[in-house]
Amino acid sequence: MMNQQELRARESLCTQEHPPKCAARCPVHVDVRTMISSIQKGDIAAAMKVYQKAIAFPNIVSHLCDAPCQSACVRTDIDEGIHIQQLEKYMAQAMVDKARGKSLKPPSKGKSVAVIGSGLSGLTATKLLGSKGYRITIFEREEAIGGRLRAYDELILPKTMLLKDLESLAIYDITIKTQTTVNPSMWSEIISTFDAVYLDISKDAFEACVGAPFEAFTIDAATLSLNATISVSAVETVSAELYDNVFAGGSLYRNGDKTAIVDCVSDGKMVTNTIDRYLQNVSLTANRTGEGPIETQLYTDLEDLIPEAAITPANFENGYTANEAQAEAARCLLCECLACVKNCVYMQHYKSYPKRYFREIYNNLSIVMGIHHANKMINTCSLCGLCETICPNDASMRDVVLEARQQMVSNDKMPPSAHDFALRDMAFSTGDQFALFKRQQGFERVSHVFFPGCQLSGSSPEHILTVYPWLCDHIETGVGLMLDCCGAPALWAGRESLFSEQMDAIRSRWDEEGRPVFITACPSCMAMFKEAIPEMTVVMLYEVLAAGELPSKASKKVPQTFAIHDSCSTRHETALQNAVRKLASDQGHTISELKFSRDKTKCCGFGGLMMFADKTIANAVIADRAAESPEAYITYCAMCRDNFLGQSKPTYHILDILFGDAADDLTRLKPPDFSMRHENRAKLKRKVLSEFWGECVDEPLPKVAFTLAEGVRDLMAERNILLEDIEMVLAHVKMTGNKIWHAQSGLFMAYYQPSAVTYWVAFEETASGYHIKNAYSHRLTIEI
Amino acid sequence: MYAYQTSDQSEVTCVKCGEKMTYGEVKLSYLGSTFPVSLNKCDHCGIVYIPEDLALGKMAQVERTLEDK
Repeated sequence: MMNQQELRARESLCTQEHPPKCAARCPVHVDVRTMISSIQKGDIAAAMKVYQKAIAFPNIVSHLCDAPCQSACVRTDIDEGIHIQQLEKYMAQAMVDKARGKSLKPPSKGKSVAVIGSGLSGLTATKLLGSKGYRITIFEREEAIGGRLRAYDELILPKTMLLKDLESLAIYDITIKTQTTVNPSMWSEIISTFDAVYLDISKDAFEACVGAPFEAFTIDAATLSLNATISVSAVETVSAELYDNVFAGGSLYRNGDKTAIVDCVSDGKMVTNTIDRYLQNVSLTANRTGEGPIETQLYTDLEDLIPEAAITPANFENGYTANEAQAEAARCLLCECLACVKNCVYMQHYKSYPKRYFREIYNNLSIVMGIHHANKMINTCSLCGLCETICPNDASMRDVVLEARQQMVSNDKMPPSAHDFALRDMAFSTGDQFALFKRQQGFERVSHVFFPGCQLSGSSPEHILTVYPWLCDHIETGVGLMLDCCGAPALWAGRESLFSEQMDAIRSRWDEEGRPVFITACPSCMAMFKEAIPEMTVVMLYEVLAAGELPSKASKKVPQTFAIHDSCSTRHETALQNAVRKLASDQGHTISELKFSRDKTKCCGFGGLMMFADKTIANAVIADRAAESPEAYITYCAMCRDNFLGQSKPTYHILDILFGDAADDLTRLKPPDFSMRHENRAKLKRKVLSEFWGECVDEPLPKVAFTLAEGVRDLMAERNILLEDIEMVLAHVKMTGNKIWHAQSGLFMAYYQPSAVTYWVAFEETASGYHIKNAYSHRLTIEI
Repeated sequence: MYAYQTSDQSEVTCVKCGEKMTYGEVKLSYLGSTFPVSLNKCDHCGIVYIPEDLALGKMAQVERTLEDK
């Protein structure tokens, strides 16, 4: 089981929770995405609320901000970054006369802070510390607070905006001393009477105030603490201890008058954090992350983005109109990753993303008592691998889900109903009725073995009867035939030992036969062999066919356009994908590529046994894939074809194209159910034995003769009930005489539990045998 | 004892015994849990009748809950 550390390593691969580039670059991390999303919805008040959370003086900053966010915007790679500052200015103007939520005066903390200088940095610290209940005294040498904010032209920062923001200070415990220039003697008094001091003044003013050269000090970037250097300790008035409670930022620390507005805001916020910590006597540095610009790994898919120029206000001085703001906001992509989720019906269904799924799965596995809510989610993933192919960090649902299933099996926590039916199908294929190995007639040793796979055999057995002799004709060193299952259902169901057992059996045979080349017709078989027997040479039939001369039966279909549906188990097998395309185009057909093809192909709904765990989601997966193109599909996996046909999507297996009857166009509208697959496999075995080896095997006689009423077969398929299950119930009735007369329907009812499931049958008795009217099952066992 | 609701109120008869089946206690079990339920059964041979709506409804729900425990 993955431990906490592995869980975190996996979670860290998924960047969905990383901030967008704009918010990461903003030193105070305005939540631009949420803000613009509100503008898009026309809710300017909500947008303003988001902005105010990060910005103490929204009216001022919205008009003056240097907007580093804008150059960080991902759209700059395509067209132009979103004009975020213009949008903020629009919000402030739209909301300036609207009443905003009133702030309440906080309870006093009984401590005092001196703020020397009242530029934006000092004012931000004043407001934020004031809102925390500290008593603030501002020392300002000019006649009013605001520093360079007062010097802006009305067109850039209207006075109404400035005053509106300054008014917001009124509710806090703030004393303002204007026209007060702090000299060294006042300075000594200030640092000894106030609990903390923040300096937001110019370098010259600093030296006049402190009475020592600025160079004698350093400012700590992480806390904005002012530290006297050793050389200054010679100056009588300056000793390092005296400056413990002094902090400095804004233009003093940065770039004088040219300091970016948003950096002033950032320093004001940062020093508020530091002073609050200092006054509460806690560490100034512990757990301080995310202050100032940060890096982000958030991935945004820009592939389908159409360039669109930014909106410039028609009247630049006034800024955006409501319509212009809407149009500019509409350009915002509201960056989030979800690159995998957007392309996965299954992940969309559970409404989350890999990072959270990993955590849910981990929690599900850790539960000792209680309900395992994520069981179905774990068992429904198709293990198709598209998420990790799309993800820039290769975050893989498949790896986590498969491990989880294996652990559930080993802890005896796997719901039996999830995979029983699929494993029964596998058991049929590995059993006597289907499994077979034969060397080509007349060969003691064969260089190749044809392994068609159980689903092609169950669905299109006729192709195996065509392909096998063709292979024998084209490979002079002999071709064996192996009918069996590769064990994929066991692997997907988390049954490691059952999978190994099956692979070991195949490996032994392969060793005994002198390690022949395996030619398989099923992409899943190929993937299983490659994974479990890496030393085996395995090729796909379609590559062999593409390299050879096709049988004369081929090439009868009228040329048309097809889209190729690649199999998810072989998404990285380029040579195979090329071979299938070549086979189709050599027949005169035109290939139209699906958006999700080759390594980015999607699952057909069978992978990972998803259709057994959750039929509804599997059907949605099939429908999504079938709708990707209006063209008919070509697959090279029988299950893929059958799933699409099951939803009436015109689809051919590449072997249907090569060897199918020309008149067979789209007539295969109904794929075989599992009863039919069993029957087809058993028949195929008898047929190859008689046709290629002259061995006659009699068809086993049914134990009980019965017929099905209309609709019952479909109902049985829906309910995972096989003909052989019905036969067993009826054989039991015949043997024991146990049956119930159901007066209302006028039918007999009987039940039998051959192993895990109890099957019920409703039937009439006729002269020719039983006529089945209904069938259902349950897993609860009736105790005798 | 659970009394499962079913819309199937038909008279049911055990053909082998010729007995009309009546409601009585039947034990159902799954994954190590056993619980008594009131179902139609033959008092003579013990054969039980489980209607379709019960099997596919309430009982399937109980199965899922026990599987996720």
